[in-house]
Amino acid sequence: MTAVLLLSVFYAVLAFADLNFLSSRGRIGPGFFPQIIAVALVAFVLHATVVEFRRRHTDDAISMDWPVTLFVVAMVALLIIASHFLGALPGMVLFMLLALFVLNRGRHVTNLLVGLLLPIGLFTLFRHTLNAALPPGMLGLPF
Amino acid sequence: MEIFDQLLLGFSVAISPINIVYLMLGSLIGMVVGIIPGFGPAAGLSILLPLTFGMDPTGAIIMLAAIYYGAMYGGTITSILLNTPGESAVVASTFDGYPLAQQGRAGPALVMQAAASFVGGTVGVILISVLAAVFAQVTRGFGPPEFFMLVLMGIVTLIVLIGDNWRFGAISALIGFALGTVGVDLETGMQRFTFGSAELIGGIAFIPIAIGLFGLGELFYAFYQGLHRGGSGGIIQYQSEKHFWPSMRDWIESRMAFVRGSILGFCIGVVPGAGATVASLMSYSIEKSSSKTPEKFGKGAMPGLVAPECANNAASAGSMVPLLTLGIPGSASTAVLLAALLMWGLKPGPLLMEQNPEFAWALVASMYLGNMALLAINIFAIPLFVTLLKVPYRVLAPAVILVCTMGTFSVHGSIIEVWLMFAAGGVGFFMKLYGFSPAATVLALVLGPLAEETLRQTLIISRGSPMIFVERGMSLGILIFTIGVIAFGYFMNRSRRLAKG
Repeated sequence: MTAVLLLSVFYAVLAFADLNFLSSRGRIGPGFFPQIIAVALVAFVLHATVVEFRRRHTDDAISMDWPVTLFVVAMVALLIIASHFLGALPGMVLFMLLALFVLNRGRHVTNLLVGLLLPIGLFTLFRHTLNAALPPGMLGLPF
Repeated sequence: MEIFDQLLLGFSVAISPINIVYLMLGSLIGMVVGIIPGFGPAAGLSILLPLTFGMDPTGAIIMLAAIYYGAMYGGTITSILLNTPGESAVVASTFDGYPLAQQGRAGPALVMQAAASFVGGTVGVILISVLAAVFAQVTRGFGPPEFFMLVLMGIVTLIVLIGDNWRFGAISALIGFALGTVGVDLETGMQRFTFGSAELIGGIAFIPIAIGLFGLGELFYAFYQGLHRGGSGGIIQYQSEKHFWPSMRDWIESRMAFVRGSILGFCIGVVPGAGATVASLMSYSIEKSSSKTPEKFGKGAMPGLVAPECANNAASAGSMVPLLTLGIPGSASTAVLLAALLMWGLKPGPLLMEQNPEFAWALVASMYLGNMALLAINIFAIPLFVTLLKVPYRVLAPAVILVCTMGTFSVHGSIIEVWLMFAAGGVGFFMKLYGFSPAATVLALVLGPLAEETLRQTLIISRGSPMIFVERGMSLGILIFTIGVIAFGYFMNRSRRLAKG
């Protein structure tokens, strides 16, 4: 909640400092709508913070798998970086193989097959069937 | 008669071989999207939207609409066989669907949900055919005050229906509005919140945000919940049943549920911000309260499955009415559809049916065909989807990540947008974690520029007086309805709190 409050205040400061509510001709200016939104946003976040503080909300009992979640987040970042530098197909294959060998342990043949065939299938679909743009990579590889 | 001619025109466009292929493909993909836990139609539409860029607009929208209503069909399969709703709109279907399956009646339950979805969807499309043109006529007199009030009504309804967490819903919507103000102010040409970045001058790109919030965010949250650890052991096997088809008694018991669920669902779907989840839950409660045997509900009553299924499918058809006739999406899914329409240069609104009748009526006609296709797919291809249910989430999820990432890149060929999607995924995860509403953010992001434009125009017309909102009949009517929704939400929350003690 603190992060949301800080971002809301940051938005409000920019809306009031940089943008005018009325233009020089006395008409509605570029800051009119952002300033209304900023005031409402800060007010609601403050209200919600107070209410949540009173409730002293505790975490519910759902299973919290932070390590795997963080691993998946890191893998997505790796996919974007690898696609950007190596190109779409090598990036996808690298991501799939790494992700599957960690998440789906012990099933090497399945992981290898899915990790290779799925990226090739998707690459063919995007590049050749849909004629869509894919990250070209910086190595000049044809895929 | 004119409606009949227009429908014929629509069918003549929709029944082209390529459009039929798109329709079937969309229906199948929609079913698959529906059965993946945590993935709703909004996520499916956002992720698959980039794949349609190479198609012609009519075919693409036919496919996307089929994904949208196909997801409603698919979501129930997991509700019945696994007690895990594919998305929130089919939660009510677990109440009686799963008990039916436990009693060895999964076959009849699956057939009845398919029939209910078909009836709800078809009644919804018939009502669209009849009412869309009337709506378009009525809304032709709408000016900026009415459009601003409609936007406000949509957002307020969505927030109110969130329930106890309405404050977080309001914050989510305001974040969406705030994101919508990024870019150049169209009236003065001044840059707002761009920090000198050329990428932000055109505003925050919608597709990366939608894919991030709905696709990646949901996926991160599913891993956080430990969904990747689960197998498919809980699936109830139905093939071994002696009686796959529903009995005559099932049909007779549920006959009024078909009617009530479909009509109620459509009416709720038409209201911007309400949608399929509210429709199905409300329909379930009404069916239970009007039943002669309410004690059977929750223990495997067929009308308890039929009513919400009819309602959620009719609601998804109903939500197309404000989208097509006003250009105002009533839900996150229709917001994605609106973004798709705008991308193809089609401007939904009162004049869409007049200026682009082939497109508008082809879409309506395709929905008739889509419902028929989905009925057949639902009954005869269930084993296929059950097999898909057995694919572990830990294998399925990386594949979805690939489609999200490459799909985002393919929109504008921009790696910055891929990073934006990644960031939105993180935000979406935390929003889910702390009870915020990604749907409200996306809806407000789409509606924000319209809200700002119409509010400014309204105040220019009225020379700054907000009284214009109560001086115009239509605007006043929408305002009164919005206040009614707020009052309804307040009393519902209060009675819920009192019931909890």
